[in-house]
Amino acid sequence: PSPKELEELELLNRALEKALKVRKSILKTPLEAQGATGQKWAAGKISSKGMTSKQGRSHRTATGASAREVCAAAEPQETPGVSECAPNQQQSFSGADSAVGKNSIAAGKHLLDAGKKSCGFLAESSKKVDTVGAWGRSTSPGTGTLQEKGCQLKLPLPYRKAYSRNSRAWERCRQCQTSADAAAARTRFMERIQMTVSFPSRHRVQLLCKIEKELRGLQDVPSRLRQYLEAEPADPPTLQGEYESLLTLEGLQTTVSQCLQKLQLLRADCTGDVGSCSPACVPARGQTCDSADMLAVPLLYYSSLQELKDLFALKLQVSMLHQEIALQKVMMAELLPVLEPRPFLEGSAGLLRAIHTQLCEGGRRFPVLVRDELLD
Amino acid sequence: AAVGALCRALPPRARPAPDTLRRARFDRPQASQDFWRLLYVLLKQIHRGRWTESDAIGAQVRFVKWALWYHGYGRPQLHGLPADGSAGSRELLLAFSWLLHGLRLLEQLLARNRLQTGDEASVCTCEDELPSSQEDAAAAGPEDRVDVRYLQWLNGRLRLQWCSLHAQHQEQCKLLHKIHLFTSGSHMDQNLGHFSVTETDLIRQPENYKQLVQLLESEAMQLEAFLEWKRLEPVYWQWMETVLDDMAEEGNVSESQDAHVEKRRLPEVTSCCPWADKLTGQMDRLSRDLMALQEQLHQLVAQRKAAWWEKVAAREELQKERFSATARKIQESVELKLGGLTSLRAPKKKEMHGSCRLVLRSKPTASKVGFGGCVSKEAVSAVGAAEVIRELQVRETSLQRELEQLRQECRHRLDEIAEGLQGVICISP
Repeated sequence: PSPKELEELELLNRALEKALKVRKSILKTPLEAQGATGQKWAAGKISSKGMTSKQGRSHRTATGASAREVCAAAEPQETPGVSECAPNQQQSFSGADSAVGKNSIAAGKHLLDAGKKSCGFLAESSKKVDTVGAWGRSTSPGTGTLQEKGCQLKLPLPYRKAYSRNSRAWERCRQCQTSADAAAARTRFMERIQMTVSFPSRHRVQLLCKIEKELRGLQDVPSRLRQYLEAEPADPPTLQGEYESLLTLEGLQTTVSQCLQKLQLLRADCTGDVGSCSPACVPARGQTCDSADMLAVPLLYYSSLQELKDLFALKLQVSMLHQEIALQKVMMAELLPVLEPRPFLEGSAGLLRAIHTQLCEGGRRFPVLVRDELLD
Repeated sequence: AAVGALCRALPPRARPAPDTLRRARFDRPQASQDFWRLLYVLLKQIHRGRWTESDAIGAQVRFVKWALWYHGYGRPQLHGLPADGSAGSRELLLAFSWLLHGLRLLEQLLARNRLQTGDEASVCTCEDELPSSQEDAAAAGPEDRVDVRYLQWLNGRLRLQWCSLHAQHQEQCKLLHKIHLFTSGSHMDQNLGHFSVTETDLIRQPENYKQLVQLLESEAMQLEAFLEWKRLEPVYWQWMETVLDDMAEEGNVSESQDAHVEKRRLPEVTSCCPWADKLTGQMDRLSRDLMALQEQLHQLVAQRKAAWWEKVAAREELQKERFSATARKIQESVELKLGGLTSLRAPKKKEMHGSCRLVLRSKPTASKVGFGGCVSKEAVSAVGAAEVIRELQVRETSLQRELEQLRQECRHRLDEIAEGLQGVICISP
């Protein structure tokens, strides 16, 4: 048994365990609740919407490595070696790398058999480990050789069955159409009841939702146009280039005026007819799901780690900006009135400085206040 | 049987007994409270609200009335129902049926409560809904004075949290990537190709996930009930029509009397609408932005045009036939380049606000050979991370601009204030 291999195995197990510990604390809540309505297996859900994860430290590393440990590089081999899986670090693996794999295969095989509890060695060996960070660095050399084993894993049968029944059901529901009879009967009912249902409220809420949606489509137009604008060379070298540039700029101009027109129309829609509004007219949450295909979970494909990281970084950045803007507005409303009434007290210079920093520099840089002694 | 299937297609925690609906059909008062509660829970789920078992009936009635009004159901008889929930089960049954179709109630509930087995992320760039903690905001009364340094400290703390969150996300990405990469080829669903964190853990410790398996099964049963209901749907609507028939027969006399009374109880009318104000605010800001851009373009175009016409006048070759062919080609290429802009004016393509399942796929096309009987449907709606990243970048730029504009406004106002400050000059960084 190569001590290095044992060590690698242990490190990887610890990493996996830690990573899943994080998930467990989120999983605990849904497990405790009865019934599943609205409960999501939030562990997998990565929300960058301002949710500060309470699991203070970020030890999630090399999990996949130990998961792969469990499965076979080749066809699962018959080994009685499972009983050897003692829940401590002195495991008797026989020699080479592939043997480590074999015992893991055996371990894997037992997991795959209907719920046998053997080979909690993965969990138990890591129980003894204290949680200190920086696993990423020390485990990355070790993961290279274990990469091959993860692709042969199989989910346990009960899960597979349930999953495929579930998937098929979703698919059938997605493709399910309303029969002609049903549609006709339904229309008759709806028509009869619509006659007694008043519309002005619907109209207004519907209108405001529509305007909101249009605005969402328009809100990035200035940025995009500026991108085009900046892409245009300041001094095109060729005649053709100059012509092209001119046409492009004119095209941008057209777009701008069209957008402005559209905004005007939207604004008129919005402000007209306010007289029949009601205090109950507030945007309701969670109502933006209009698409017909709501019975399918769309897939988000990413192709590399960097892409995934960029995606999350940007999501967080956008979320942060939303928050900063909201904070900025509130601070402006609260802090500026403090300073605006004159006459100004001497001691307020410090206050001005602090407020200036908050409102103008995002709390990062400070203006310099200099005594103006030359005047007197 | 149709009603039975309908009930089973509703989410487990909001499942009524079929009897409730039947009793409501005959307007039994006993069914009213149950029905209010049913609508309350269902509508709360639609609106992602929270509710508890102990919410008062009065609050339930108010919420349901508001939600129905919001979605355009203004039937006066319903809005006039007593606030203690003691009557009106038949009206509620009508409202419920209306919601079934008008709001696609069943489908929405199924989608909202869907069990997640994958690693999910949302691609929506809408503003996060801040939890309404109005009590906290009012806690510091107008008399209390808060030190601005506390504000600075809080700000610093917030930044720290953001940084820490960022670091955690990045770690999480590394983890996800590894699991996805290393379990590639293992999933029975070819569209997915690899396991999620949940599924990988499931392999290690299947005993922890018994409940998940059960939930998958019960969700499947709920879906199957939905399918059954769709088959029996005509029966349901015909049944509902008989309800309307009953009401037409008995209600004619009393309805005209009640109508006057009910009208007074409809939501009051006001002339101010904060929602509309918020939208107009956004529109104004956008207009200002665009007008500034328009101004800039106007000048630039005028300049370039003048320069161009000078050149045209000076150079013979431009006035010849040859150039017009080139000109046309250039026009076409410009149209192509600006093609993306036409989509700006048309309503935005399908907005995705829900969660997506993260899937690692290194190649854009994969041969989708059916694999051992399990799910591998082609028609899967998907979006690529690269595209989402591009959208996010644009959104980020826009938001950054908006923030900077606000800060600029503050600078102006503070500069004015600073001028009034005796004896001190304020130099901005």
